Amino acid sequence: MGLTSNVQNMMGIVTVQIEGFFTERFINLCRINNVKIWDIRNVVKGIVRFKINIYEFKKLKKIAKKTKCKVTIKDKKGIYFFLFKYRKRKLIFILISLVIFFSILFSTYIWNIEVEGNEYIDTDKIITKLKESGMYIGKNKIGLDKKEVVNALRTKVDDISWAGIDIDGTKAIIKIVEKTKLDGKNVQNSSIGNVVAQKSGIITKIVPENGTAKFKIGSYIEAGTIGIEGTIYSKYIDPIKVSAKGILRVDCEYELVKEYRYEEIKREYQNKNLYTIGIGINSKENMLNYLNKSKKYDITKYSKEINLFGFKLSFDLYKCSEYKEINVTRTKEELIEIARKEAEEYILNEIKNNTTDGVLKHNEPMITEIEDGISVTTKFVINEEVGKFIEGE
Amino acid sequence: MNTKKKGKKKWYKQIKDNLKFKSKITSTKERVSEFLELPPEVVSKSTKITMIEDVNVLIEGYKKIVDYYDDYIKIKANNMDVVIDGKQLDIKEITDFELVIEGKIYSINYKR
Repeated sequence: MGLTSNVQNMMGIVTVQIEGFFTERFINLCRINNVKIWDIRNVVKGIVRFKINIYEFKKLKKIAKKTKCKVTIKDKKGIYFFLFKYRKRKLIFILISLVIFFSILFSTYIWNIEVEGNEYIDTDKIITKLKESGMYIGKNKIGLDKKEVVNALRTKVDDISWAGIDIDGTKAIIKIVEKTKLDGKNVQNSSIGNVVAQKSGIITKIVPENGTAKFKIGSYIEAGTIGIEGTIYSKYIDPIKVSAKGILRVDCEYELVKEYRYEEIKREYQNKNLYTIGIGINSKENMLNYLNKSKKYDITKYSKEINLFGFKLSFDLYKCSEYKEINVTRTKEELIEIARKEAEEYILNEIKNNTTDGVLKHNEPMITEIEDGISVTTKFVINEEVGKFIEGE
Repeated sequence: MNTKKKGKKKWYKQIKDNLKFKSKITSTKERVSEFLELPPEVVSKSTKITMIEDVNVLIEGYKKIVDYYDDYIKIKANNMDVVIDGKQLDIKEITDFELVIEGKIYSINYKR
């Protein structure tokens, strides 16, 4: 009901003025005869204006006759009147029909492809393979066999376990479920080999899951030495070569040496930023320099590079932050505190990036006085997994 | 046994007493709406007037427009006559059941 009335209103609305002695009766009769009128405005006594749909305008004739009111049209709005006004201008009709035709035509093509659900498979790779499978931007939706495309995509990309295509207007949404990848630890090696220690240290845990342990807990192992041998020995049968697997954890010692000076030059930024532009041609930078030479600046570059007939053109924006150099004098306690914080950060980074399941066991800083400062040597022990499967007998 | 019978009233008698208690309620429709806890304007033919500040009035359940001027509208409602005084009064919407009046409203008066 609401939608149809809205469509009817779009088609045409007329503002009608009635003149007569019985305008109230006119309005009441409109209501009784189911003629929908709105925005009723009393101009002066005896003259009322209101809006009405063009489809119901004819019904007013009967009511006007009954109430002896004079009906005049004051305003016309809507598509019907617009088309009527320009009925002799054929070019407009041709243009409108062309616009409608092309919008219908172009809506049958795929203009956007979205890939969902991929984590380790590259989106560009999927789109490239989709193109090979028969689905690309600019492809007509009519006659597109989704099943065929999905099957072709699955054969082309091995890591996809399931794929589905959902077409939403002119957008194609490719939903993907990737194959679960086993992590390196859980993959069973089929080849014969040993578990070799990657770092030196004292063994804290050695558990051979497959093969024979060569060391005992508490013994020192050198880097590159076999920890778990890929051979199973038995009293009754000959030794069998297997693929060694197991846990080999050792306590590795690390050392960090750093010097800190009592006096240091520090940059103090002045909160003054200057911006300048420049052009780079084949990595040669040309900056529009208007900086004060007596002052010091920290320059950050934002660049957009384009390749033009073999020339590399880059448009650069430079952000120059002004700073002053200040001499800072620190006490020994302050330097020790800085050293402690830096050592903590270093250890955390070391555990995060260079160890497997690393746990810090011991941390001991040693401070020695040097000229104009101190030297801090931090020794720390990390308990970590060092065993790595290496193929070979 | 007799005391028990005297103490416990039958359920339909209790309802009847409750309905009697509300002496203002006269018609059966009103009694039913009161019993079922329904809004009275839904059951009986009554008029509901809703006002939004001094710019908009919604009258539900009206019969006809009696007088319509720029500054005065008289409406015959179901049980009463409603007179709206104001300035630049427009009938924004009119349907079978409800009427929306817009403009600067000074007062709403009614007469039974």
